This record gives sequence, structure tokens and C-alpha cells, in this order.
Amino acid sequence: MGGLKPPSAEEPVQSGRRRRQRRRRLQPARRGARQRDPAAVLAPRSVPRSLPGVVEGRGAEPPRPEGANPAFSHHPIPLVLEVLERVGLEKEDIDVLSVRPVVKSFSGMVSDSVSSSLAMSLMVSLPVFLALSLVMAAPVPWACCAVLAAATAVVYAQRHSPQEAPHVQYERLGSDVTLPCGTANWDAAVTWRVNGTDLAPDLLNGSQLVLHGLELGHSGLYACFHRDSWHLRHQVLLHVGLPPREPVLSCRSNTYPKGFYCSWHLPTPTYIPNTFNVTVLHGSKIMVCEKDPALKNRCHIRYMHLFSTIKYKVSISVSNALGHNATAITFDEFTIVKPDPPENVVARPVPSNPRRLEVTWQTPSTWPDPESFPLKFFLRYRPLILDQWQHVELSDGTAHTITDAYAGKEYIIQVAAKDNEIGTWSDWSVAAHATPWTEEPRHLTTEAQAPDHDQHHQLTGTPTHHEDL
Amino acid sequence: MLACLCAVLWHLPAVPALNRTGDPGPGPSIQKTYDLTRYLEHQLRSLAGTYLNYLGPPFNEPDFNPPRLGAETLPRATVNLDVWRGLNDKLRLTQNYEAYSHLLCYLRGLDRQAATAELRRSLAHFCTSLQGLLGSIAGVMAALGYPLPQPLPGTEPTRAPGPAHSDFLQKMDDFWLLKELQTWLWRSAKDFNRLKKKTQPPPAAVTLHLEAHGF
Repeated sequence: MGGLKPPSAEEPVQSGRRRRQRRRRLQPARRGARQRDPAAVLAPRSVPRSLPGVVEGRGAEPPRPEGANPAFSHHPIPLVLEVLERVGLEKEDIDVLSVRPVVKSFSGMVSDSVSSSLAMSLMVSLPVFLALSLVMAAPVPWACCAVLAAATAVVYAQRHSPQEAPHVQYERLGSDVTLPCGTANWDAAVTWRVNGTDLAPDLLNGSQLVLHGLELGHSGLYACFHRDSWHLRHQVLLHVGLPPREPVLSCRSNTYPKGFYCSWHLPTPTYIPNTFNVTVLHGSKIMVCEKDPALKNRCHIRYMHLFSTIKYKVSISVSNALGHNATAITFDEFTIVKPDPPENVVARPVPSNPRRLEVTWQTPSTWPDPESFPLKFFLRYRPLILDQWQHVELSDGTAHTITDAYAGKEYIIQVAAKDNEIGTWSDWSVAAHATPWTEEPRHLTTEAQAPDHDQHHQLTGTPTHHEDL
Repeated sequence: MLACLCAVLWHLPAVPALNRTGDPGPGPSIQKTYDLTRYLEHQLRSLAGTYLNYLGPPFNEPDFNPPRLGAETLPRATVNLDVWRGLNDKLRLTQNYEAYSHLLCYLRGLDRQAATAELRRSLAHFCTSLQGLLGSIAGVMAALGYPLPQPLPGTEPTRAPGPAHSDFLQKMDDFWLLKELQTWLWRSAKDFNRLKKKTQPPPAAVTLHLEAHGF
């Protein structure tokens, strides 16, 4: 069979599909009935044959022979329509139900209850009517009213008792699971479906569905139906996942001395929803960790005091339907300081200097107080064609001139930042590219510049401006 | 039992005033003090490592995180962020000076009977350097015209005497002393950064050292 589909889209479409297929099950039994005729759909010529499942399913009532009670065969039509009117649906709605897929889940829910309660009410009303008419030979209108009342009562009871919502179940990847069909007996005749697709009977153990070696593809909406009446007995929304492994937690202060943030993630996915709980302790004092507005796996803590000798302890616990895990880290205020990389790194050639490059950058905008907490910088550069970097450490300023660049080669330059005294180096900035100044190739024209002048500049390498000649 | 001989420290002869003629301002001495804090912080790292190993576990474990009990009289570097920002220069320098005076006193009183000769040497060297830092701070204060803080009677730090103070508690005190010393050195670096920027002489001014007083 192999008809296990991956979890599909919204419920309303699924239930619509289910209903439509159920309708189709009923229709073939009514020979000659046109699909689109609402009366034909619901009120066949001979009742017993049109709803064989209903009557047989009860077990107690023997099947009525065809045409046994001609008077009876016409009554279900007004009965059913009156019942439907009570529920608030029109004939046109029945048409919708039988033919089109459901658009709204509400109408889907009501339709579901109507269709199942319709079967129920007919199950109740028909035998009752038959019994009454046979026993009493009473005026049909009186019996009809009694039956109608009973049917309506059943319909209302069905309608107001909530439709059984799918039972949500979480199971572990790789495990085996047995899904019972609600409260049905083990030997009840049921059919299972997943996301609207039939499942092969060889997966069944009686009325229970057995799944071995759960995979992610097994997640979905499982429903079991009474085999003949197609009455929905039970639904299970199965989610296959894993319990959480130990989370990875790290904290960093890129806004010293304002505060720090902690972020976390799970090393492997669980495929089901997880909840995280973070607590921050400074000695014995609990500190508030405010959730990041944009990132869901990050929260922020504000420093109340600076230069503290007491360590911070951050603990995180993660749990989902299948398990639980936790971890914690402890650190000193100074050890987690790591600024963001410098911004706006620009490298420019220096006119008339074939071996120089001028690099400028800005302190990261997230660093709140560069005056009191100055940063020092680390610059690295290399020509694109080589692998080895040159390094320069700068304790002050946001500019530097490289003086040993290879003439005419394109360079890649990056800068990193660090608080002067504490913490660690930032990540490398976005790279800047530049090629040192090279002399324009000389044009062999009569307007050529005086050769002596140019020679002089090149030899001395002094940064002079070319004057307009 | 150990009477602290810190009285000597408090009555240090005043550091000779900087030569005011052609005065470049307190800038160079602030820079020098800053450099000293960095040097001391570096020295302390190796000293603390050795000393904590001498104390043994759990003191030498990296994630040792005890509650701060006892060590009440140690000068604490921790301060509210806004308060720290708002400190005026005089208060900033005074707090540094007083802190290191106390810390030096405690360091000198560290129990050296059980310590190795190597450890004693390192401690002595560090104490000398720390004294140099104190002198440097005093120099900056003098250059800016602030008086050196005088010790109030009864506030001289003394080590808790007697057998009531158990061996373990003694070690805890030592642990906190080193921790506080390290934190103070980090704080001082920031303090002197702030002072550096504020008292930086503008290139053209001549009477800049007088202007520095007003900050």
C-alpha cells in the first residue's frame, strides 16, 4: 500500500475530502441516483438498500426486503429535510456538501456533525417509525411527529455535544506505537485512514493500528471509521519527534558596560515544539532576562553593577512532550566581553604611491561608550593571490596606512576590535578590497607629460599631488 | 596577632611635586599610572595562579564560585554604573588610592609560614610593584592639587586574629583578596582611561594644568 503521506496542509481541505469520499461510498449503492440530486443523495428509492451499512451495522434490526413498505419509502425525504432545516441547513447546502470541497472549517464541522448525526437520526428514527406504524397502525402524521421529535432530539444532542476533537499524540522517532480506535472493541470492524488516504488492513491488530519504526513521514492525522457506515469514530493527530538533547548556551557582551545577552540552540532538531526557560543568577540575586524582540532564541540582561567579583550563572532548561534537558554556564563579568566587528571598513589607494593603501573604519555602533571603554584594533591584509596574512595591532585611532603593499596587486583587508583591557577579539569585519595606485600607461601623443617630472616622483615615492601641467 | 604596619604607608612622605615649569600637565603621569595597572594585572595573573594552586582545591578550580561571606573589610571594586560614570576626578582617584592602600596591607599580611620561598619572593615583588602604583596615583593627585587621603583612626585594616578564624576561612579570605585585587586593577585601567581623556591637554593651551582642576 505505502500510502502514508507526509503531513499535509490544512484540516478543512482534508475533512472535505473525507466527506466527499464518504458520500461516494454511499452513492454507488443507490443505482440510478444522480450524484448531484440532493434528494437522490439522501433519499433513495428504497431505504434499506441505500443505507445498508446503517441498518446492518446495528445488528439488531434485520434488513428490510425491498419495497416492503411503500408508504415508508416516501417519508424519509420530508423527515430528513425537516431535520436539516432544524439544524439550519438548506437543500442548497446539502448540494455543497455532496459535491464541493469544504471552504470553511466551521461549515466543515457542522457538516460533519450533520452527516454523522443524519445517519444516527435515521438509524433511530426509521426503526422507531416502522415499529410504531406496524404496532399501532396509528395515524401516520402522529407517528411521524413523534419520530421527528426523536430525530431532532438526537440531532440536537449530537450537535451540541462537541464533535470529538482529534487526540494529539507525540511519539518518539524509531519507536513502535499502537493506536486504538477510541473506545471501540478490539474486534470492531474499522478502517483507518491517514490524511485522507486509506491504510492497508495488514497494519491492523483488530481495530488498533500498529506502526513500527516510526519515521518523520508517519506524522499526520489518523482517523478510524466504522467500516460499513463510515462513521468517524476517533481521530489522532500524531507527531513524531525526539526528546531534546542538552542545549548549547552561550553568553556575550557586545555592549559593555550596558549589558550582555545569552543565546541558545539545540544541537539536533526535535521536530516537535520545544519550550525554553532561562534563569540568570548573580550570586544569590535573580536577574531578569528580557526576550529579544526579533530572535526567539536570545534574551538580554542589563548590568546593574560593574566590576563585580561575583560570577554570573545562566541556566537553561528545555522541554517538549517527549523529554526534558538542561544546562548551565558560569562566568565572570569580564570574560564574556566581545565587541562586534568594526564597521564601514574602507581601503583606498594613495595617489602617487604604488605601495600604499589607506584603510579607515569605524567603531562598532553597538559599543555604547568608546570614550571610557576604548577599543583597540587588529588589522590583517594580504594580496588576493597569496594565502599568508600580514598583521598590525593598533592601540588607538580608526585609520592606518599600509606601506608595504605589492604594487598593482589587489588586496583584501579586514579589521577586528577588542576592549583595551578585558574580553576577547571580535570577529573579523566585512572585507575591503583595494589595489594600490598604479601609474597610468603613457599615451604616445604630443600632449604627453614631461618625462623628467614623472621619473622624479616615482623614484622618491613621496606623496605629492600631480599638478596640472 | 599580626599588627598591620600600614601606619608606615599612610605617612609616606609626599611624592615630590611635579616640576611645574613647562608643565605638560598630569597627562604623562596618568598614562604612566595606567601602564602600571596593566603591568600589575599581568603580574598578578601568574602570582594568583601559583598562590591558588598552593591553597589547593577547590580554590584553584576555574568554576569555583563561592558566596561572598566574610572578607567584609576588603575594599570592593563593584559600583553602580551611573555612580561610577558620575564620579568626579578627585573621588575617582581617592577611591583608587584608598583601595590599593588597604589591599597592599592585606597582601603584606598573607600567611607566609607555609608558603614556599618562591611564593614569598613573588609576593614580595608584587608588593613592591603595588607600592609603586600607589606612589604613581599619589603623584597624579598632587599634580591635580588634590590632598592625599589621611587614614581615619580605627579604620586601619587588620587581619582577624586567633584560632576562631579557621584554616579554611583564612584561605577563603586569601581567595577573595586576590579576586578583589584583580578586579580593582581592571577597574583602575578604566578609571585612568577616563581621566586620560578628560585631562588631555589641548595642544595650544599653556595654562592647561590650571584648567584641569576645574574638571
